[in-house]
Amino acid sequence: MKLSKHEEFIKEKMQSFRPEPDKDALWESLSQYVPQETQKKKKRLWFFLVFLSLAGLVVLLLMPGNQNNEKIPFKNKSNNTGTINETKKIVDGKINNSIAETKMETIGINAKTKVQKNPKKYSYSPRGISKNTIVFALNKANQEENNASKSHEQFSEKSIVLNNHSHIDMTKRESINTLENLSNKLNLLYTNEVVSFNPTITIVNFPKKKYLNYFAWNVGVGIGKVDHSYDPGNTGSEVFTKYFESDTKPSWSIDIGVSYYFANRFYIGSGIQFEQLVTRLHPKWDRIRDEQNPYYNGLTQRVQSKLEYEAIGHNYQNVLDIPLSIGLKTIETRTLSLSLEAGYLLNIFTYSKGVIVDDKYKLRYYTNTVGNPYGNFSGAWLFSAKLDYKINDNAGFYLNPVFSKRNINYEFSGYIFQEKYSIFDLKVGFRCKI
Amino acid sequence: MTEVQIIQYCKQGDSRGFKCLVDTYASKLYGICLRYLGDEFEANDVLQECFIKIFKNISLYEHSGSFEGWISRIAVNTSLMALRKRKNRMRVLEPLKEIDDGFIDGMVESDLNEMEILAMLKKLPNHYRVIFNLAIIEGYSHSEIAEKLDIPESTSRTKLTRARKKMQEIYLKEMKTIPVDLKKEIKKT
Repeated sequence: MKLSKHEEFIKEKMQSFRPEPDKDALWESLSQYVPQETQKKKKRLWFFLVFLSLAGLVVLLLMPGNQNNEKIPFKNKSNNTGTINETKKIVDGKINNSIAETKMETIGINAKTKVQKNPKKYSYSPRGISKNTIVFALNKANQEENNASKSHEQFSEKSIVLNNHSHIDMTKRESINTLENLSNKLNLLYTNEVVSFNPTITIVNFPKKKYLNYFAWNVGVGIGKVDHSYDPGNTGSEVFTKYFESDTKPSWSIDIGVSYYFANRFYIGSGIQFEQLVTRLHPKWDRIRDEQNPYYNGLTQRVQSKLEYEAIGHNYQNVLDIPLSIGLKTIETRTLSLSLEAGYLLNIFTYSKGVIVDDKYKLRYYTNTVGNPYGNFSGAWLFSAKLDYKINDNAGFYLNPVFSKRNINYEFSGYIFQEKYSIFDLKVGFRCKI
Repeated sequence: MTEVQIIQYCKQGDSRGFKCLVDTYASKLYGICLRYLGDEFEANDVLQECFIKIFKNISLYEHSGSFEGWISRIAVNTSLMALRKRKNRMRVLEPLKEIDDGFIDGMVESDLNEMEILAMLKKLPNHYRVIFNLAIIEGYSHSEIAEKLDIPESTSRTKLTRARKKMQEIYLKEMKTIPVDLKKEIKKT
């Protein structure tokens, strides 16, 4: 467009026009909007981090205690060993059996005594009496050989090698230190005498409780019912939602993932999920008619088949997410189990394709790769239940109803749209232990 | 703070970034709002609305185009929405006096300042002012104007012609300089 001289002049003057508003007053009124937004983001971030930390913490706490999941058989390794279910107290070289019987649960120590001619003396004064954890045997090495042998025999008859692990050979000092450390930690059986011994110590880990910890992979597909709305306060939505109406079509999804089952009842899961959300758009016919729009030909939507064909289009949101969830088995029978899950779908990529109705009631095609509104923490909250049908101990099918809520933002024609989706998915899948 | 830093701070939710954004661009956006709305109080309200939208949506800005252009578009759109709310829609095409274009072209540059030009723009009816702003000052094409204002392109052309003529009228009335031909005559005498 060719501008006249005075129009050029006006353009130039107006483009460099910088009137000064009352910036302090402006900032004062705007500042209330800034912290709110920031706080919201921080809240979301904190909530997400706390969720991840808790999930991580649970795994860290439970995993080390359950590394040894197999039952350790008690074995008699030599003639000097046997099953002991008593704790011993050695007083003046005699074994006192008065201490109550205890059941060994976690750690067993066998201290095989050796008679020594010139034993060194080691002082040993552990605290407390064990009721449940460690059994060990001591022999006074500075007693007479016969007595010592007798003690040894007496003791040996009731001593035990509780292991199927390799022996840990230690020096005397190391042995005593080890015993002292253990006794400090676990309230060991004690002797109040100065004793000398040369034990061979075997530490055996007994499972405190049998947990079945394992990994499993899963693959599933699903279809969903989608409820869709525009953020009413959003810039683009304000303009465009006046012109069109939308309804949704069923969504579909596919996912693959890995879960870690721990503490018999819990599991955490992650993986990757693709979901397509389909929205069907058409102009608001009432509005077209009321405004006597030139594009309206006076016919109803029903009778103008060509226009109807042109004026209804679909909008596809293709979203790729990483699901992070934690689950709890609430009911478990031999063949079925029911779990409850909660988690977050971390959106890593969204590709929008399809049509949108512009402000002239026309459908326009567009494709767009859209980001997420909350930086790296965008995504959706999800809640689900999982009904698991076990084929055998290692594999099974599952039925998984999932409810999730997500926001998707994108730009069209200079406007920014924010759409909200509530999705109810029904998934079926297969899982198998790794 | 540079433009990139301002954007980065704002995206991180740092209030310093928002403050700096307001300090840096308030004048520019206020100018746009004033041009479209022609009313100081309303322009202040719309300016505030613009910044709220910018705060809300800055995370979506992807450095693909000029940031100033991006926020200007938001200001233009917000101003247009405010005008729509006023419901002063373009309905009546006022009759215009015939003006000799050659007469206008013969004018020498005036020493009108920005406020005086703004006052002239203010004298234009709303629908002419909007089209004049969009076409002459912002440089939008007729198809873009038609899209923005929800009118056919032909209407946009007609209205712009009338808006230009109306502006010429006002310009003639307000200008402080005298026609070149008149200047020459004065010199001769």
